[in-house]
Formats: sequence, C-alpha cells, structure tokens
Amino acid sequence: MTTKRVLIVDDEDDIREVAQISLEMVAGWTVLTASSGSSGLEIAGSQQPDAILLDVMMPGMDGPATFQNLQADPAIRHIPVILMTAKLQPSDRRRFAELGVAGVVAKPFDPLKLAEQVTETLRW
Amino acid sequence: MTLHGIVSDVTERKQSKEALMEERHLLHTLMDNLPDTVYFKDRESRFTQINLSLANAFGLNHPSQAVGKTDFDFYSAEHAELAYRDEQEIVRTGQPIVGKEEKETWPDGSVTWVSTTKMALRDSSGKIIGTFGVSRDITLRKRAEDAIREGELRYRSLLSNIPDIAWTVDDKLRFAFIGDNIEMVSGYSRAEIYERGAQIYLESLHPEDVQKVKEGFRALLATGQPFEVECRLKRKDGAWIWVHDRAIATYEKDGIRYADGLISDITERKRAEAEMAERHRLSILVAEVGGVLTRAESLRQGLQECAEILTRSICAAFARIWTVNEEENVLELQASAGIYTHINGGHARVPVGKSKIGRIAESGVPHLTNSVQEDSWVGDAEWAGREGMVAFAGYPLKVEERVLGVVAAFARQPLTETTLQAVASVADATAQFIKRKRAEEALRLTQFSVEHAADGVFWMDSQGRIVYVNEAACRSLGRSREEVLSLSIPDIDPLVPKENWGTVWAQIKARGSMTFESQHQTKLGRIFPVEVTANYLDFDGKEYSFAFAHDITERREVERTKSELVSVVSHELRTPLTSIRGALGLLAGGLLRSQPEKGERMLEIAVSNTDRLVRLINDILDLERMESGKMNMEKQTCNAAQLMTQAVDSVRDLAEKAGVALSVTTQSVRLWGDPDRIIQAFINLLSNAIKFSPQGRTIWFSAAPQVDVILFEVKDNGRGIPHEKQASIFERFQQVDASDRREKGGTGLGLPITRSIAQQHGGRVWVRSTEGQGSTFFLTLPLMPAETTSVSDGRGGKSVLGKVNDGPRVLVVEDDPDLARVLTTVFERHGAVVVNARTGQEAVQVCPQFIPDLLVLDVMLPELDGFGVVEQLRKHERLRHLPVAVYSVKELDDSERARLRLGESIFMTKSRLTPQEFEERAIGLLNWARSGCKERRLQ
Repeated sequence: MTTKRVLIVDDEDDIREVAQISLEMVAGWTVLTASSGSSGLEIAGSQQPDAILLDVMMPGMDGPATFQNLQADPAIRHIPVILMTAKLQPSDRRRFAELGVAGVVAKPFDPLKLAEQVTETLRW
Repeated sequence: MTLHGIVSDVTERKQSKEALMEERHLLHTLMDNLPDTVYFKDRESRFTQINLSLANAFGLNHPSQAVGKTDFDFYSAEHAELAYRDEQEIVRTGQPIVGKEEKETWPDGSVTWVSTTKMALRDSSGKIIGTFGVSRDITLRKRAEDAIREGELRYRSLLSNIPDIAWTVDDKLRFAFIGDNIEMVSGYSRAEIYERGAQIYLESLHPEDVQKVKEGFRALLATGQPFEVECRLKRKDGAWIWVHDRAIATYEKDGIRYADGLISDITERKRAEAEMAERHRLSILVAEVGGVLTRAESLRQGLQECAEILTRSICAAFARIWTVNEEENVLELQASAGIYTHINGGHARVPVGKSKIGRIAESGVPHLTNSVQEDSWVGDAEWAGREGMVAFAGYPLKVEERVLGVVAAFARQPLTETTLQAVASVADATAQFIKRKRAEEALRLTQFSVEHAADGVFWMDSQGRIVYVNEAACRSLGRSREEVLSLSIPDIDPLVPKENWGTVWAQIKARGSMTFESQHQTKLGRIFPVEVTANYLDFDGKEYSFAFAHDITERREVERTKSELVSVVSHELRTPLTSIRGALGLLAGGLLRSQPEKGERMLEIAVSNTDRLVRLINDILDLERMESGKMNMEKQTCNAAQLMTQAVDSVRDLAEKAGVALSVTTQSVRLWGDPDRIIQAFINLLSNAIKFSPQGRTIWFSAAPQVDVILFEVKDNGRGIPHEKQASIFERFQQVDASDRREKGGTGLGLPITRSIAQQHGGRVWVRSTEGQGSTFFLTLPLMPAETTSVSDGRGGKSVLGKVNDGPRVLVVEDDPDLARVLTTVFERHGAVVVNARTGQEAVQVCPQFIPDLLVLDVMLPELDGFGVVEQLRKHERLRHLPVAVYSVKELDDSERARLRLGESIFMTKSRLTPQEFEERAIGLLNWARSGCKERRLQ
C-alpha cells in the first residue's frame, strides 16, 4: 500500500482530529485538514491530495456545494471525494449518489476501519 | 029492449068493439115499438104474448112463435129456473118484482143484463091468471159499472203495492183515506190512523221537524200552496225513519176542503246521502291533510296542522300524533289539537309497549272502539266517563311495516266505519310524511355537512365536468361557485390533463373508490398539493364521481419539517458521538499506547463531547416535554426582581470570563409563574447576549410593567442578527451560524426553550436587531391580576385596569421617538399592549412574533417604507387581514391606499387631522380590532 495523501474537510475540530489520527496511525497516510469548504478547495488545489473526505453539514459552503465547486475546477475535479455525514437518510444517499461522489462514510465511524473503508471505496 | 034500444045497443056494441080494436091496435103498436122487452105468461110461465123486441132477442120471426113456449126454450137453464121461481112467487103471492137487475145467460153462453119489473096478470075478477113483465137491457151500463169497479180495485191494489203511501185529509186534519202500506212504514194500522187522524202523525214527528210540517199543512189547506217536506218520524216501535211528504192537490166537496198527498219512506236514501256526505267530507279531510303535509316546512308544524284538521273533520274531542324515537324506544308527542293542545305533559314520552299508544306502536295494529269506557286498553276510565268520551281510534303510522309513530283521537260520539277508513288514510299519509321529513332532515344535515366541510367536495360527471362544488372547494381554488361549475377537472388539476381524464375516470369506475395525491391550481395560478378520494356512483343511470379534496400543503410542510427535524436531531446527536466513538476507538485499538499525550487528548475529546451530548439530550427532552405539555409548570407568586437577580447570579461567572458587564434594572412586581423556568429563560437570553457580545461591552437587563404584563428586555451591543435569520432563531438548531455551537457551546435549543417557557406562561418572546449594532430580546410575562391596578405606566399616568393578556395588541411603527411615545400613551390609555418598531425592517421582524391586533403605520420609514412593510406582512397568513391605521404626511391616492391595505384599514393625513381627531379615529379602529380579537380568542 503506497502512502496516500488524504484531505479531511470538517468544521468539527474534534472529529477532524480523531479522523486525522485514525488515518495516520492505522494506514500511515499523510493527512491534510481544512475546517471549511472554501479552505478545503484551496488546499486541494495547492496540495493535490489523492482523495478528499468531505463533511456534508458545514456552515457557509456545505459538503455538496464544496463538491460542486471542486467539479467545476478542472485542476482538482479528478480528485475522488468521499462524503462523511452524520445525517444519512435514504433520501440523502440518493442525493449524494446523484452528485457523483465516489462514496459516503456514515458518522460515527470506526477509527480503526476508516482507512479500510476509504481503500475499498476508491479500490486502492 | 027497444029497437032503439037494440039499435042503440047494436050501435053501442059496434062502437064498443071498434073502440076495443082501436085500443088493441094502439097497444100492439106500443109494444112492438118499445125498445124494452114485454111478455105475458100464463100461470105456468108459458108465453102467451111477447113483443117484437123480445121476439128479436129470442131470434123469432114473429112474436106469435113464442106463444106456448117457456124461458127454458130460449135461455140457459140456470137463468130460466131463476125466472120461473120468481114468476111462481108472483103467482103465489101477487107481489111484484120491481127493477130487479137480472143476469141473463143464453144457451150460447153469452150474458146480458136487464132491469126487470114483473107483476101478476089478473083477470077482470082480479084472479091471477099469469104474469107479465117489462125488461130493459142494461148490459152496456152493467159493463161500464164493472169496468169502473175493476179499475178501482186495480187502483187500490196499485196503491197498496207502491212504496209511496197515498193519503187524503180534510181541513180538520182527519184522514179521509190512507194507503194500506202505511202500516208497513209506520207500524200503525189504518184503523188506528183513521181513528186518531193527523194527530198520530204530528205526535210521531221529530221535534225539530214539527214546526215546518205544521206550517206547510196550514199553507196547503188555506191557500193551496203545494206542500213538500222531508222530516223524521218515529215508528210505533220507536225507530226513527225519514219520510218525504208532499201534497199534490186540494179540492172542496160539500163545503169541506181536502188535500191529497203521498208519503215516501226515504230513510235509506237519507242514510245513503249522509254516507255520501261523510265520504265527501272525509275525502276533503284526506285531501286537506295531503296538502298540509306536502307544504309543511317542518315535521312538527306538519303534524300539528294534521292533528288540527283531523280533530275538526271527524269531530274528535282531541287528536294527537307521536313519533317513535328508535334510539330510546319511546314515542315522543309531536302534535296535539282539540281540547288538549300542550305537548309537554304526561303523554309527551310514552315507552313503546306501554299504555294503549305504546301498545299500538309495538303491535303495529290499530285499536278502535266505540265504547271507550268499557275498553280495557283505555287506562283512565274515570276520566273518559267524566269527559263523555265514547270512541277512540288509534292507528300506527307505518311505512313498509316499520312503525314511525301513532296517531290517535278520542271522540264524544261513535266513529263510523267511513270515518275510521278516513283516519286510516290520514295515518298512511302522515307516516309517509314522517318518513319523508326524516329523509329530508338527514339530507339537509348531509348537505349542510358537505357544504360546510373543511375539505373541498366535488361531483363530476364521466366527462370530468364539475356539477357540484362546496364552499371550501371554491375558497381553495379562489373562484366563485359559478366559475368552478363551468370548469372540468383538467382545468383545476394540472396533473390530470384533458387527454388523461379518460384513464383517470376508468380507474375510478373500475375501483369504485380510490385515494391518490394530486394537485389543484387556483385562479391566480398557485398550485397546491391535494389528497383526493374519488368515489364512483351510478345515479339514475348517470355516472358520477363524488370526490373529496384535502389540501395537504400543511401536512407536506409538517412532514418535511418533521423529517428535517429528525434528520437535524440525529445529526446533532451523531456529531459528538462521532468524536466520542472515534476517540475511544483509537484508545481501545491500542494504537496510542506509545503516544500518551495523544491518548490524553483523545480522552479529553471524549469527555467534552460527552458533556455536550448530555446538555443536548437534556435540552431536547426539556423542549419536547414543554411542547407536548408534559412538563408541569409549578406556578406560584414570584417577584420579578428576585428572578432577575437569581438569573444574573447564574451567568455572572460566564460574563466575567467573557469580559462583559451586566447592567440590571429590576422591578419589584409580582408574577404568576414557575420561577425555575422563568430563570431558565432569563439565563438563556443572558448567556446568548454574553456569548455574542465582544469583550468590554455591557449587557442591559431591565423590566418594565405594562398594562397587564411585565416586559423584560435583554439588550446587547453584539454583532446583531441578520434580518433573514431573525424569524428562524427561535426554531430548533437554527443558530445564526452553525459554528456557533462549537464556539459558544450552545445546543441550538436555548431560544426555542425560552419561547416555549414564555408561551407556557401566556407570554411572548421576540427580537429586534440590527446586524453589527446588537440585539434586544423582549420577553413578556403576565402580571398577577392585582398588580394591574397599581402599576405605573412609566409615563406618569396610571394604566387602565384590565385582565391578564386580554387587551388588544398594537404595534406602532414610527421612527420618531417622541411621536412613538405619544402614540403608545394614547393606545395604552385605551387598554392596549403596545410595542414600538422604529424601522420598517423591525416592524417586519416583530410583527410575526407579536401578532398585533392593530398595526399603526407611518408611511415614511427608514430601511423599508410602509409599502414595503405591508408587502412583507402580506406573505404571512396570520397577518394578511390585520387592521391597519396608516398615517402619512401627504394625501395618498387610491392605488397607494390599495398597496397599504391589509385588513380593515383607515388612512389619515397628518396635516389634516388634529391630535384629537387622530386619536378618535385610531381608537375607533382599535375598538373594532378589540371586538375582533375577543371573538378570535373566544373561538
């Protein structure tokens, strides 16, 4: 497994911190973080991560809006995005699928299996 | 004797012989020319001489041929014998037979009649030598007499055999003649009548008829005026009969005046006539009842009129009608006419099966009697006797074997069969009427329910054309009934285009009834969701669909809100859980053993998120309990000042940490409320103010008693709340910024909880805020009723006594503080709760929370002018009909007025009105609003 660079975008500091430790310690990946959609896009553009874990409910630009902006930007549109959400109802799942994201991770997640979930979703 | 003597003797003899010859000749001439027959017989009754008439009668050519013959040669032996005996009697006694009428019978059987005088024939010595007789033919006379006699016999026989009785009376009222058949009719014999004369007739007359009969007779005999009368006679056996008596002529004989008359027994005709008249009267009764029942507007009115007609027509003492109340199995008196007209007495409710009425209802069989007092069904025989009741007729009112009621009548005379038949007909008509009225009543109720149903009701035909629509449907479509009735379903349902109607109809028809969601479109084009239940109906060969359309906009909204809330709550719970699960998962996985500081950090995250979760769960539960009314408010008398102080004490640490100052102005007034909850509301407002105030700023916490409420204000100079968020911050998890919960540690439920506490106390909470300049939160709570009498209005006057929360609410939108104060004072003096908005924007924010009963609006306002305010308020369902008092500097034209109008509105131009006029008009509208708001609250 090659070392991957993953960007986590979440407005919740604690969740961002837990997810970061999880991916670093379990998978040994390099983790970048952003606390808002706009800063996430910025980091994605400058750092070109292998994947983005994107929270759905965020103040200002929420997850889906951030993803749409990412899709509109040719420089970063190729980066696969996995949405993370604590609000996962059947209707949301459909909506997310229509958006064209690579996958969805439900919160709360198992920190020991998060990396595995990402790997499976992105067929790394 | 001398010659002379001889000559003379011979001459004398000669002369004597000639004289004799002459005499004989004369005699023969006489005899032969007499029409009468003459005979001479010897002592043995042998003819010695007959005249020509008799010879002709005997068929002889010459009288001399009869000489020596007897009657036996010419007559029948029978007659000859009688004649012989008579003649021998004359010969023996010498006594003549004079004028004897004899019947002559001849050998050929023919009969002739003669009047015969027979005498003895004597010789010159007087010795009887035979008989002679003269007979005159009286056959013609005899025949005429016989014919007369026979005619009279026949006439008598005829009179005896016709039903009419002929009579003749004289002017002394004696019967000169009375027909034989009088006995059959009157029971008196002719002899009795001849004996007692007309007296017997007059005595037998019905007392009511005596006068007219006497007068009739008097006129008849005095002037010959024809007499004709119908009167009642009592027969000898006591039975009454009707007779028709008429006199046809009067005449005088021997100085006495006679009258001839005829009496006929017309009892049967009279009876038939009476029956006809009764039938006629009763057929009128049935027709009259039919008419009344057809026209009657109400059941009770129809039955009452029916009872009245019945009483009158059958001459009943009284008649009553009951109807069956099937739920209670009791008969309820609906109508009573005659001597008893009340319907609330002892017979008002009769259990089915009890007393005669209840038994008739139970059995469904009529009960009829013409001897009430002996009738076992009649409970009160003493009453019946006292009142002289003779007959009772009670009929069940039945339709198709179902008893709907009872009609009953008591009468003081027997009721005939015909009458009973008529009552039975009336009973049938009445039963049908009750059935019809009940059906009408049910129909009316159904129609009323359908017409006033909250849901839209439509009838459409197989083509989709709307043939009936109720009020709610018209209202929801924003169209008049006429408009809707000119449309088809595809015109109002955008999801059912014309080309699809056939399919929809086929489904409704095939399934009989179906419920589906669709849409309806108003006249103005607004589309709203509806749930339609359509039923198929085949009525009189025509196909219809009967459909209910329920506007599900609200349901959709509730569903959406509910689902969103569930989603938000789950998100809010999962967020701290994600941190806890993640932190503990990493610790449990043992990955952090080598990095204890990271392990510590994970524990911190787990603990703080657990605290957050606990706060959240507590708030969610509190709010849920409050909103569902499951939280008991422990209300008591409390002092506003103490509550404020306790709340401030609780947040003092928080304020100190934030470097924010608190300025508190308490009011020592008494409140009725749950102190813990009120303090919780204060803490929520204060901690929000602290959280959002920059360091070094001050928060003002004050209270001001109003008419019947106390108004608390929490004012900060923080960042303010954006206009678009001001309405939503009182909803759950609607912080101005989602990051606030993280930074400020809130659960997103503080304001909803505060609002709920205010509502539980009959108060309100709202906010006035300008972004960048700070916010003021207002909270009203009701004062103790006693406090309202002594509370200063803060402006030097006393407020009006009023009940808690009962005054109209006025929102004064005025940017000039002095004018605002004047207006506030005016309305408060009239018992209103007044709130002032300084800008149009503020008015738009405050209004949906405060829900005033009257809006006082200046047109020229900063930020948003009066037109803008009205435009915004029109978007709120609850504010669309708000009364508005608009005042402006310049006169407004019609279109401007239209733009400023919500509900009942008045327009005033500042320069044209004195302050008093302004006050009068504004208070007029306030009073109107006050009456309106009372009505609304009563509802």
